Amino acid sequence: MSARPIAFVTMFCFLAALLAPAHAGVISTQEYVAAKQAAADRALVTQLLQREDVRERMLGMGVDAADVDRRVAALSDAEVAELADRMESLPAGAGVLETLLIVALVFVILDITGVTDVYPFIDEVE
Amino acid sequence: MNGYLLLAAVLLAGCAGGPPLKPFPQTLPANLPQEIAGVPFHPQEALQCGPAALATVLGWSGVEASPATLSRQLFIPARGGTLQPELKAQARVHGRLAYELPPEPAALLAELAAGHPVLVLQNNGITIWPYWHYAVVVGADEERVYLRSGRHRLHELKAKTFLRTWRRAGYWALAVLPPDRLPVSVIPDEALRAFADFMRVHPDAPLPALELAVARWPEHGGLRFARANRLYAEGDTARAAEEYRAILARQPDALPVRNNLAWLLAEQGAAAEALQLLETDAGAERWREELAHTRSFARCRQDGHAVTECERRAAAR
Repeated sequence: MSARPIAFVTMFCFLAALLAPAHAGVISTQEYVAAKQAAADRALVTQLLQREDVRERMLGMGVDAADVDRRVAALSDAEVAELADRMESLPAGAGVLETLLIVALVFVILDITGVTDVYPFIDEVE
Repeated sequence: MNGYLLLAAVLLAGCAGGPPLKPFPQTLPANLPQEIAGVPFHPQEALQCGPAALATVLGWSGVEASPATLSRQLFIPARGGTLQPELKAQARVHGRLAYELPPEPAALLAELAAGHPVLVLQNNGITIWPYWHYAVVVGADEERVYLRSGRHRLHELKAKTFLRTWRRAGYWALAVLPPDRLPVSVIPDEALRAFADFMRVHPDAPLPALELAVARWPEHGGLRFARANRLYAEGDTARAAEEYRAILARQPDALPVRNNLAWLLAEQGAAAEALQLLETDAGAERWREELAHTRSFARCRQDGHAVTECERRAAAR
C-alpha cells in the first residue's frame, strides 16, 4: 500500500536524471531526432508516465521484476511510445504454434501450396 | 458444406492480407551469397526465436551473447514471444546499432550481397491465424532464400514462399551492425535515428558509421548536425563551428544548429555574433526554451563574466 508511491517517485527521479540533456546549452542529436519523430510534442512528464506505464504492464505480463527496470531504460522515447500504444497488439515473434487440429490441417495444405511455412519439414510441391 | 464455405472464406481472407507481393528484382546483385560466412547457429528453444535470432546476428557482428541470457531481456511471458522495439533496444545495449531496412526485397538482397545477415519478422501462418516468427536471412539466390530459423541451421525456402511470409509481417527487416559499418540500403533518416538511439546508451563510444553516413549523404543536415555535436563534445570546437556554419549555409533556419553554434561562440568569447545568430523567430516554438537559455548565456558572456558563472546564471534564470 505504502511502497507503491515511494517506488513510483524513485523511478520518476531515476528517469528524470536519465532523460535530462547531457549539456544544458547545446541541443543534443537525440533531442533533435526526437523533435522530428511523432513523440516530439509529448512533454517530459508524459514520457516519464509512459515509461512507468510500460514498466507496470511488463510486470503484469510476467516480466521478472529483477529485469524490468533495465529493459525499460534500454528503450528510446519513441520505442516507449510505441509499446505504450501497442504492447498487446504488436506481433510477438515466438516460433511455436498451438492450434486446433483443423487449423493444423489447413496449414499443412497451405504449406504444401507454398502460401505458408508453419511446418519447416513440409516442402511445397513444385 | 457450410463448413467448406467458411474454410474457403477464411483462406481468402488470409491470403488477401498485407501489402502487394513484391517479387525479387529482375537482376539480382552480384556476389549474392547462399550463406554468409561466420554466422553462428543458435537452435531455438520453445518460444525463443527472438533471443535466438538476436544472438545469431550479434554473434556474426562479434558480440557473444547466449539466447538464454538475452531471453531475460526480451521475452514477454503473457505475449509468449518478443516484440520488435525490444530487439532494437537490446542490440544497442550490446554495443551494436539496429537499423530498420526499407520494406523491399531489393534492400534485403543488397544487404546480403554486402555480407550483412538480416533479422526478419515473418508471419508463417496467415493473417487471421498469425504465426509470428523471427529468423535470420543468411543468403539467397534466384530460386531460394536461406535462413537460420528455429531448429534449422540452414532452412531453405522457395523465394516466393519466403516473400509471402515476410509480406504478411510488413517486410520488417533489421540490420544489426557494429559501429564501423553502415547498411547499404538504409535511408538517411533511419541511420540518424539509429545513431541517436545508440549515442543515448553509449555517448562516448566511437561511431565511424556516422562518418560513413555523412560521406554518403553530404547534404543531409541532420547527419551533419550529429557529427558537429560529436566534434563539440570531443572538444574540437574549431571543426564543430565550421560544421555548424556549413549546415547553416544551406539551411539558415535550422534553429538547433543556430542554437549550438551560438552557445559555442559565446563560450569562445564571440558573444555578439552569438546573439546575432539567435535573433530569429522562424519556427521558434519548439526550441523556445533552449534558445532563451542560450540567449541569456550569451548576454552574460557579453557582460564579461566567466563561462561557469554564466552557465550557472543561465540555468537559474
